[in-house]
Amino acid sequence: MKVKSGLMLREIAGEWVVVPLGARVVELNGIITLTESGAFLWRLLEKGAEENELTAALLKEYDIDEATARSDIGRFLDTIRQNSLCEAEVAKEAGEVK
Amino acid sequence: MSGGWAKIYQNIINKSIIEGAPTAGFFELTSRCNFHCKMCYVCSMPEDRSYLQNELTTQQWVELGRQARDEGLLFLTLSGGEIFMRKDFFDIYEPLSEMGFNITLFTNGSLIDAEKARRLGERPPSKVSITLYGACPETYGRVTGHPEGFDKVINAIKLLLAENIKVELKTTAIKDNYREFHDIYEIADGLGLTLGVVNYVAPRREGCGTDPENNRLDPIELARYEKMLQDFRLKHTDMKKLKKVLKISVDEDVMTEKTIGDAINKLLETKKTDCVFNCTATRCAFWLSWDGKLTPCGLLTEPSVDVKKHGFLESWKHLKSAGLDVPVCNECNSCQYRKRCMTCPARLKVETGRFDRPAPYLCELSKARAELEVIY
Repeated sequence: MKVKSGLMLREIAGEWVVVPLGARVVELNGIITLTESGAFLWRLLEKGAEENELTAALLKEYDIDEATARSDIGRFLDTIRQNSLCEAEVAKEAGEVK
Repeated sequence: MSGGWAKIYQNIINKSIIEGAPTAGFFELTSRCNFHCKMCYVCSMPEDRSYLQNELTTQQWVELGRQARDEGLLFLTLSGGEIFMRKDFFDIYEPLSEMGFNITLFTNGSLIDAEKARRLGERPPSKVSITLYGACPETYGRVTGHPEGFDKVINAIKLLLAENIKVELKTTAIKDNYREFHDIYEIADGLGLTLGVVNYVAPRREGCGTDPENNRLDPIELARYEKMLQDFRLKHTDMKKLKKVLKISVDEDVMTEKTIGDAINKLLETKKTDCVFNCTATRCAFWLSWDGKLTPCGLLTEPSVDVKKHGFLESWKHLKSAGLDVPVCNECNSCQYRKRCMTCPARLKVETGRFDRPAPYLCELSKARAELEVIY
């Protein structure tokens, strides 16, 4: 999954926030706050990381077991999808239909 | 991932105050204005060359935006004068809109035509805040000198809303318009917008031809006006629809919102500070004037640091340090009316010329508020 372009991750006074840039304000007028681990995942999603990559990275970075990591990542990705913060996953879905 | 704008905003401001990070700032792009409001604290003529020559350039504003962003600026308000007086407004705004700010525009609205609204709609600010100076052309004529401004502003609001741009309305109460509050409210309500009330009119900072002190409400008139607002608000709080569309906020802006005042008070209980500003000024907020002076807020010309000479970061450090040298007004702090008073270092300075001298206008207002039981 890849988060949309035009969403800037910033650290403000120790808080992680995502701010929409330019035309992206049309879709998202406001600010999203992230935890430190959320920001860690967001940076990977900017590069288009898949769920397994996110899990591996989280396990390497944080003292957490795999089941918890997968569960947390699943919820995080769901939230991103629900808020339309990721690029459309059309190609993958089309592949699955075939 | 969490939502809730007020909570997010307050949390970031609280942390910024502790860190001393410049999270909230005003860029005063120009002091020039097409209106000439009687009560304006900063108003120079539209084509005044002495002002034009000293305004920061397009490139300077964009570069200062980058520098401020790198130091943590998040909540950026573009203000004036009238921001659309600058022919290069979009050359400044569009690069800033790509830097990661939450941008608010302060404007009188009269210069926003369909093309400007369309262009703003392509990369919208978080909010456009428009001041209504009256509810009809006649009042606009008396207050701003431009009766035709009323229709232009109403048209601009509709154009912005048609572009799905968030708009908030404010009104500044002076002798010439305060009796029109209910009509102004009806306009805001009809458009489904919130209405803020600017109750304090400061003496002139700079500019020409305006006379705030003789056009603002006298203390007793202002206290009565606030009492009327208080009663009006109480009367409507149980009406769901009105509560949703109308928020009468008095004397609140990004630097002085009640929530921030509360946050600072909580911080003061746990952390000693020598800063006498009871808002975010010099703690995590700044004002950058049209000619490049970094100051605590728009009312003040000192302390000030020249950003053209020092750059943003050094200027911010100087300003924070200078803010600590602003003396406290002990008389105000021990006054029995303190809780009803809008005293602050900036208002004392512009009213009396000193940071530590009580201002008769504010003293009389707080006494009148006490007599009328205005809750402030």
